[in-house]
Amino acid sequence: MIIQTEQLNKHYGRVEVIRDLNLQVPEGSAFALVGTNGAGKTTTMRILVNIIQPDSGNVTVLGRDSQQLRQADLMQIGYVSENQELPERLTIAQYFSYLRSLYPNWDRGLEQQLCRRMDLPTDRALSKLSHGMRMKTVLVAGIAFRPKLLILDEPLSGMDTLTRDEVIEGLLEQADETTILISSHELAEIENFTSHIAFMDKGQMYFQESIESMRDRFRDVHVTLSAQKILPVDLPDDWLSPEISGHMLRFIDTGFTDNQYLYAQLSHYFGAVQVDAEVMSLREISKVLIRDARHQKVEAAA
Amino acid sequence: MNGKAILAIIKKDILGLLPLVLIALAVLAIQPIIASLNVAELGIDSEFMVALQANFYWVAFFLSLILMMSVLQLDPANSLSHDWLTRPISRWDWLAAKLLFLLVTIIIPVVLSRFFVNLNEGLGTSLSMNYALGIESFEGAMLVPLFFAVSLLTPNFKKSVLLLVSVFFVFLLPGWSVTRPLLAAIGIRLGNELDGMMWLQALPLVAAGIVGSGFIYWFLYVKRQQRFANLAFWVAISGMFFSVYPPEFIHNWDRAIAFHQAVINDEDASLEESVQLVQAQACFDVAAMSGPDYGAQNNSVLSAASWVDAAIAQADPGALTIATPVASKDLLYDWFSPASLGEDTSVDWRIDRFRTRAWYEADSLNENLNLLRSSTAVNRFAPISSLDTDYWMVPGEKLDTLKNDPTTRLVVEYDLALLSPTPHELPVDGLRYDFPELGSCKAELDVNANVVDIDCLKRGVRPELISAEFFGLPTSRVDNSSRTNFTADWLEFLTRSHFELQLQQPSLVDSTTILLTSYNVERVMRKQLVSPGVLGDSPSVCPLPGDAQFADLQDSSWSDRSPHEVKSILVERGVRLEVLDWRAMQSDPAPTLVLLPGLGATAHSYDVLAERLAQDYKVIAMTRRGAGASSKPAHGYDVTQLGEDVLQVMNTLGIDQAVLVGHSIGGEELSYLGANFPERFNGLVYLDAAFDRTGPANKRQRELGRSLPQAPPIRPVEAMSYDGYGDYMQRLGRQRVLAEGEILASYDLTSGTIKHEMVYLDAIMANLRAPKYERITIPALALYAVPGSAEALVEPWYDQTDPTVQQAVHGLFEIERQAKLDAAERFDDEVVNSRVIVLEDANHWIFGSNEDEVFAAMQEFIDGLPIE
Repeated sequence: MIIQTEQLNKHYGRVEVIRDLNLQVPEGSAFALVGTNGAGKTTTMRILVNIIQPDSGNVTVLGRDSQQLRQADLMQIGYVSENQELPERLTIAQYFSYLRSLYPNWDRGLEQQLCRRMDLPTDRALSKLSHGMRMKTVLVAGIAFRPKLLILDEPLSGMDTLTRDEVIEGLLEQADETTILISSHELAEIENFTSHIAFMDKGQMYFQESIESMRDRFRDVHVTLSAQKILPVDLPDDWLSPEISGHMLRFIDTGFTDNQYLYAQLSHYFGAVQVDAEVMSLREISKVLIRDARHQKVEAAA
Repeated sequence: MNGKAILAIIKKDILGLLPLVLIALAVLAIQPIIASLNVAELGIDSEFMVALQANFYWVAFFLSLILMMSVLQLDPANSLSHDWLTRPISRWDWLAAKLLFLLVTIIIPVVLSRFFVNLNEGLGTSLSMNYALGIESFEGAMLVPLFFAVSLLTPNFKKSVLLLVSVFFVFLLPGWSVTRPLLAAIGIRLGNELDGMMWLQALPLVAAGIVGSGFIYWFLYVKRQQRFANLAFWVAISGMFFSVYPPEFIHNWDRAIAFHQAVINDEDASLEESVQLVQAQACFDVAAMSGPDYGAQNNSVLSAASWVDAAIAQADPGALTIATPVASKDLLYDWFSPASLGEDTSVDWRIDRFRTRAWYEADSLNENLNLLRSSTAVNRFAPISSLDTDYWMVPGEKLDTLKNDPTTRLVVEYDLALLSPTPHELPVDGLRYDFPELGSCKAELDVNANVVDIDCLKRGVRPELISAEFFGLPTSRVDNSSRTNFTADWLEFLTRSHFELQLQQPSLVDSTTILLTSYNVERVMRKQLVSPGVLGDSPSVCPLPGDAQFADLQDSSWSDRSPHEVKSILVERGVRLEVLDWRAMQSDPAPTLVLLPGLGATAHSYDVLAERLAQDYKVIAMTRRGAGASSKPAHGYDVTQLGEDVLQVMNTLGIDQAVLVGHSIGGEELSYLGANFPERFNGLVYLDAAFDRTGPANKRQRELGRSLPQAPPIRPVEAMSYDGYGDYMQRLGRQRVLAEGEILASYDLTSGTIKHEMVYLDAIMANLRAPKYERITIPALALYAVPGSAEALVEPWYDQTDPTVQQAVHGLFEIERQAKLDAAERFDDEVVNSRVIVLEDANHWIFGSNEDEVFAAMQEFIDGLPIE
């Protein structure tokens, strides 16, 4: 694991921002950290690069305790955040020139290539850049030294589609050699290149797994019942949001293995049925999860 | 250390702060130039320039602080979002880059600009660089660590300002009525500043700032522990706070003084003997702070004491303010031989009484009664002087006890520094001269303003005090500070100092060179002056407000009774001289007599003699310029002009010819006019006046004279009338030789001081010329007062059993007698038409002590003159 946290906790005053967070990011993965605003994604990422320090728990990044990260380690980590404060009076070119002196492994060719690709006006001052331009610049500044680990905190928020595509293209180019940890509250745009996904809400981690296994086990199930039925109380736990209306039953199966088994389960509860189990998009899955997480919270509170 | 990274950070910071860096560069480069400008020469709106010059240093200083804060906060640690936080920058590279930035943008420009300014002033290359490198202001240097710590701790300017404001309020705490008692409980009191010893507070202040900054950096930047960094900051602020307001049990006057004593004093304590304090008045001036006498007669004491409201609130009914003027005998002086003067001149040691306390002791008191001292009194900021007056509050409730107890005594205790001089002669030519103690100094004459500006640049250890004066004009002396600077040499080693002194009225004397003296503290000592009674003597001598005798002291009865007409005669544009005219007493044709007084005396010297002479002659007397009611111009104190004054007076009054009579220094005008204007004068009469006052000072005479005890001061009742003054003279075993009008014109009897401005008297002394007796052809009578025996010189208050007194009296007798007899002999030899009369055991005021003999001799002489 290139990143590993155990029982991570952080609070500001009385507000618990992160609670017992366990995160494992495998090397080479493109790991998406998903959650709503205020879920604790940014705080987690800041802890990973030692901008802030956890109250308790262990954090290992590149095999080292994050609070002991050295200069040499930071040369391997690219960190891009949407609200990074830059030396505003510098032009893009001056900024990159400054960074070049800090990173021995800075790839000038890659820098120029990315600048061209993203159409960056290198002689413009950083303070004069639009949000999109700015994010692209920061991204180049996080990528051009070919880091082993790239931590991206909401890199795509507030970007128009065109810019977003450019950025993603740039990222995709890195995807092979670099482990990417990317946070977003919108899964759709990153779904193409993420290999893993973790879901956070209110400082807690709900799950983390690879996209493949998630795609495999999530199904949007539409069932046509033989007769009108009421919803039994003892439905399996991994059937989320079951709804019944007339002859129609709908739920999300989070433990799908194969159609045969699903059919057997449905027969057990409802007798003869007609089933349609659809593969779900990551976006749909995340929606379901968020809704469920909220629901559980409300129940727990009650 | 990664040089490439450091350079990249510096470059980024310079680009990032370019406008500010450019403004700072301009201001820092201009600042030394503005400081070096001679405002007077520029002639533009000089008030504005003076203000600009005075404050521009601080503009540059605060701009530098802003630049320092800005560069540190370009990459703050106390941030969640700054780009540099996740960049591979070693913390030591960061620090090195920031410090180098400050070096490049602040220190190097300042040093270079100073260097070129110095070079331009003709200091030479190595000296210019040396002076350019010193720290200019300790006050400024003390603030830098605080601002550094704040900039490290806060991520932006807004938060820095907020933090600085809160720090500012912390430092205001002791002045706030709510917190003051709390702080007083731990021994913190305001107004306990250690003045010249304040470096003992400045040092921990700076140390707290530097150590605090170090810890903040370590915790916040290296260890990233915000809380510890905050803690370190406030610990440092507490350190600074307790340095500025030290609790008395940690840091107080006694400890500071003991520390300096231990450092400065050597084992040889003989210098302690050389400092002798004397009570300058028989009775201390007193003013009631309430009651019927309040504010009536003695307001001068109260206004000089200028108590703060808080002190007045403490005064109970019957409380008094007393003034204790205390002088020190000037026993310590060195001789100095300036190249240009050709003779030795004496340079005094100086005394700085940097702490004064006073209390009453009496057998009937259970414990000493400590007196409250006025810290607002005028003398507090006066230059280090030989007469120091303090103002004290005596509680009314204890007054009766003190008054009725014959054992009552007032103890005034001084902690004082004895300063030894190192004299230097500095030509007034605008060129720089180097002195090891003073650095590079120049003096320039400003003819228009009639001043000499002195300017010294010193790198490293500086003298504890510097003074400048014209040779022969000790009263022209100005000091660079009103208190001794005790700062440790090793600390001063880092600094540079710029001293500016201004001497007034160079036209009074030959001012082609001046005396520049640096002083070093030779010894720190404690001295007490113990006086009997409440006010300096027994209550019968020194009555208190409310006593019957005190009321009697309100009516003085001095008057000028001589029948003269007082005239004011213009002798030069803006210069009028006082002339007393007795000619109305003699209507018949008779010889005219013009009488000239001695130094520090007026025409009233002759109030008695003139009245007697006026029976037979037409008599006028005139007061020399610079004294009495005559004008005091800033020039014209050489004998040519003084002689011209006499001729002008005679011209105005229509006197073609006269017999010129002079007492004491009046002999100078006599010898000059007699030699150069024989046609205007029938004859000359020298009244103990015919001396050559030039030539080397008699060191032995001076030494012996100073070693003798001073006369006891006059008592209040004796100062009330001419008769009372006679009683005083009798008490001293002397004759009353001065006329009433002269005492009225020249003396302030209550304080025992002469009313004249000493600088003009000194100017006359400094301009003396040797008399040319051989050129005097008109008849001349010289009377000399010569001591007849050593015993006659013994004053009643001398301790006759004291061998040093005996030795001094005999030594002085021989010197003075011999000098006068020599002078008489020379006069007799060199003046063609001379008559010499030696009066044994006469007073210098020869026409007071031996009036009849003088009158008879003069009458005989004048009557023998061939006057038409």
